[in-house]
Amino acid sequence: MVGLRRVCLRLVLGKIVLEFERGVRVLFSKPAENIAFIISTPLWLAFFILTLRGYGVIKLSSVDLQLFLWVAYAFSLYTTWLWAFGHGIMDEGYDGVLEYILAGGEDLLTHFIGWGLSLVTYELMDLVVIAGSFAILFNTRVSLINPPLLALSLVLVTLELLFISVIYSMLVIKLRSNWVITNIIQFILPTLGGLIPGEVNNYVEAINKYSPIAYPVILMRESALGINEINVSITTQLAYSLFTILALGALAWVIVDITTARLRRSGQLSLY
Amino acid sequence: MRITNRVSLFWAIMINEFKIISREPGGLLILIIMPYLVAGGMAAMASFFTRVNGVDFIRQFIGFEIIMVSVIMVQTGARFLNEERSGGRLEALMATPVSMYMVLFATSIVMVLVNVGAYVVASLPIVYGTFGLSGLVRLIPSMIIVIVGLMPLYGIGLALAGLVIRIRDVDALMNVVTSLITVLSGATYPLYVLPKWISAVVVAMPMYQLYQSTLSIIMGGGVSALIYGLAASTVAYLMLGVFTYGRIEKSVLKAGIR
Repeated sequence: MVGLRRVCLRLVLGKIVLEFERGVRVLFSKPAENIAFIISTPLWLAFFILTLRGYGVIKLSSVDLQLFLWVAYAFSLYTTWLWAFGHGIMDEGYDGVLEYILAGGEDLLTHFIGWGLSLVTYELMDLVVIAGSFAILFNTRVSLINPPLLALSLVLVTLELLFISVIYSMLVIKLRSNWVITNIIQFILPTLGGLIPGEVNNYVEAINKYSPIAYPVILMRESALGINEINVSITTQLAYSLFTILALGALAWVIVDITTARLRRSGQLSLY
Repeated sequence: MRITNRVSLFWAIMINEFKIISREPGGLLILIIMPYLVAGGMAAMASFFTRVNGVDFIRQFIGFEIIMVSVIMVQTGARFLNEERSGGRLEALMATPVSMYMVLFATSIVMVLVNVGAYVVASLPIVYGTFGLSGLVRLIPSMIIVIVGLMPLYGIGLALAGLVIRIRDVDALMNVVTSLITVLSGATYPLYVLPKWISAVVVAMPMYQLYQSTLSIIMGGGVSALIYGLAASTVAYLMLGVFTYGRIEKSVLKAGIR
């Protein structure tokens, strides 16, 4: 029994690794896009700060800039996961790739997890580019108070966004203009997901404290800056984060299962 | 080709493009709500550091609207050609006796109308809320300024469309172009914060001239002196676009599309 379990685990992990490798190859198959990303990121950051100036914000302290660095990174994570991954799944649905995967006897969730994990490489590139841009534009060095906790929080954020994107893409894949919803969700989800630091005012602190999906993102900021934003112990925040991720993972599993059954029954995922 | 035939051809291309756009009503919705989301989000951020008043907000709102329509206008021709190439129709299109200038201009005019429509619909509530009926009246001349101001951007788009025939990584090019146009728009920040040479570049760009001209009218300041700059830009950038595109198209017609 134990041997059988090990074989199954090895098989599943092997497939995830295979999907991971494929995802990394796809991500780096277009070097021009990565170069464009590296060029455009500092431009967007400059625009963001210039626009704040347009609203009358004259001076930003080094702590403000550090907070903005992590806000920028969290926003780029949400955008990357919703667009590159979430919409990537939908495109695979429209192109019939998901149906081919099922026809090949593979599991959709394994495919999503493996491919999603390959985005970790992109996440790390995001962090390097954003940190580099802040260093060049604002002379701000990244503060890393607790690197192990930061690494753990990055894993938690990745898993959370992976499951949220899977659930989201499976729910809206049948809509005709789903990119419109993605555009709107791109602003709503980060607001509920801890993008805005709790220091800014009591309302934001309350949202961050009571929104279960906010904890991994807040942990990321707290571990980097060493500031406890919501007056909740790190252990409790970790526990809440894990619980939320497990719940999201279970929900993703159920929804992908339902989608798979629909696909097998109708043989068609979308209207296209 | 007789003039009536040209007009009917132009009309047919416009109708076709309009039908393609109207397949995605959600896109039109985004054009209307996006300035609210972005200007509102930035105002919320700024309000943590300073007091944001109504006039600041409307300036920024118009600024974001101008950036959005500028980006769309610059990308229209290039995106169209890229889609035609991806669908395998570009060579056939270029082989027809219809001038590509006419095809690109007709598709872009539809985009101008959609953009201006979105600008008016999005601005209506906020302009009425801030300036009342007189604000709504001022929206009409500002609409004309936007139509004129999109022409030099069409010129830049034409030059980009030429580049797109040559290169394959269109998305990468568009990412860089979008961020450049946004930063160099000068539409959401005061120019004096920039180094002098960058300010000079921004002033020479049609986005800044369009923004200042539109804002001046909306705020009741009358016609800005930059309107002359906008008129000069319209001629200059259109010439640049026609020249660049023409050169590239000629070489492509000789060598074929890669």
